[in-house]
Amino acid sequence: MRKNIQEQPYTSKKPFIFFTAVSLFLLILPLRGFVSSVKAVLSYVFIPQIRASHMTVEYLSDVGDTVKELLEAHSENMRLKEEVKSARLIEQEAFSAAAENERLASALSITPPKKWTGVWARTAYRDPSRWTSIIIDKGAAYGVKAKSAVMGFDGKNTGLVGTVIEEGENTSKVLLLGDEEFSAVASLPGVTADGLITGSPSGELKLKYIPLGTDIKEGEAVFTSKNSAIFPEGIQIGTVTRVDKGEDFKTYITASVTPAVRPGAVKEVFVFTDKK
Amino acid sequence: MRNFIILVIIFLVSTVAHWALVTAGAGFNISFNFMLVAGIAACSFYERWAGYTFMFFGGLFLDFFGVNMFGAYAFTFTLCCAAVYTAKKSLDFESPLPQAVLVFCVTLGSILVYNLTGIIFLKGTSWHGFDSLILSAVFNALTAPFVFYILKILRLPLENKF
Repeated sequence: MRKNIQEQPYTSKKPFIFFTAVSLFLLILPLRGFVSSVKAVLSYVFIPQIRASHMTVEYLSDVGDTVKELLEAHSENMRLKEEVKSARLIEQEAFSAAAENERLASALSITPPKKWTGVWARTAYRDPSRWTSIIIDKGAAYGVKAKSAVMGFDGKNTGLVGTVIEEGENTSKVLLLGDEEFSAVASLPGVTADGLITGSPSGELKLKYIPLGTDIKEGEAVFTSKNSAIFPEGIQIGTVTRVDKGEDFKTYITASVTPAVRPGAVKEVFVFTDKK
Repeated sequence: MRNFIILVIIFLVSTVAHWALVTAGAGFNISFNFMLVAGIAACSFYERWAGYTFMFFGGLFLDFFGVNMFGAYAFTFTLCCAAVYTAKKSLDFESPLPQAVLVFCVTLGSILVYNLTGIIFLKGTSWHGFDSLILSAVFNALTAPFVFYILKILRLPLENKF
């Protein structure tokens, strides 16, 4: 550890005296006047570095969040892989069921239901003049036509969202099922008679014209009927929340239906391009 | 000339690192004085004028943020620089342990001198207690070998770096 003093090539005391004198001079000066001028000059030298260091700290503080997001993405990825495996199994079952259905339909000379074909679109914006409609970013250029059925995905569920009422080249207007002018023929599993779904301002749908004596229970799912002129069969519309048996003079049952997807929350929709 | 440019770059990077460490350490109640560590390392590898200039402007950088005194850090760092050059006559700072010990002692001395300067020129101190004194010295000492190593690498001719 010890070194030979002779090795030190330069031992002048001038820098020490000079810088001590300058620093003492700065110390004894009043903070106004000359010192403020020195500080103002120094600010040009130091402030860019302070900004740089702030940016560094901010960047580094974001690193933790980024790592957390990456870890969450990893666990989500693992979970989604498991879901994909299950979905593939369900798909296989669906394929075999569809094949069986096709075989039986052909044996009984029944026309099998068409496969769902269409395009996925994003909601572009909502029309303030007609709040119960949305504009989507696909139009005639993608095969979208007026009266095309529209299905939506709200992040959890899929279900009927509405119908196309105007088509442009690259955009289309969709009338949501909450609109009072919306209507669709609907059916319930195990019930032979169809009903008519209509929108209402409250957002709750009305299922009308179900014949008296039909057994409808709360919680039952409502689907589009094969007798609909516009909508393909089997799209879930919602679930029955209340059944109004009606007064004595009524000739049909009316039920309240909660939509399967909240039309206002839908960001992506599937537009059927193959008409029935 | 090359060494001078390197020293200027080291100074600029040290100011950024110092402020970043102070900002980050504030959240954990830890105070680093990276500028002092970089200054001591510079004094160990550079000749007197370069070392004193680095330390003086490093002190001015810290004084720049002061409200009540201007020049106290510059003065303290100048004294620290003198202490390093005195120690350099008899000690070798090639290995990490002497580097850490030197930084530890100089940090303790700098805090005491700064507070003494405050008493003389301001009639007040910025004393944060013995815990803060020791912790600051320890943290500075822990960073010292790393900073010395970086400066040593930077001072080597390019062909010897890799």
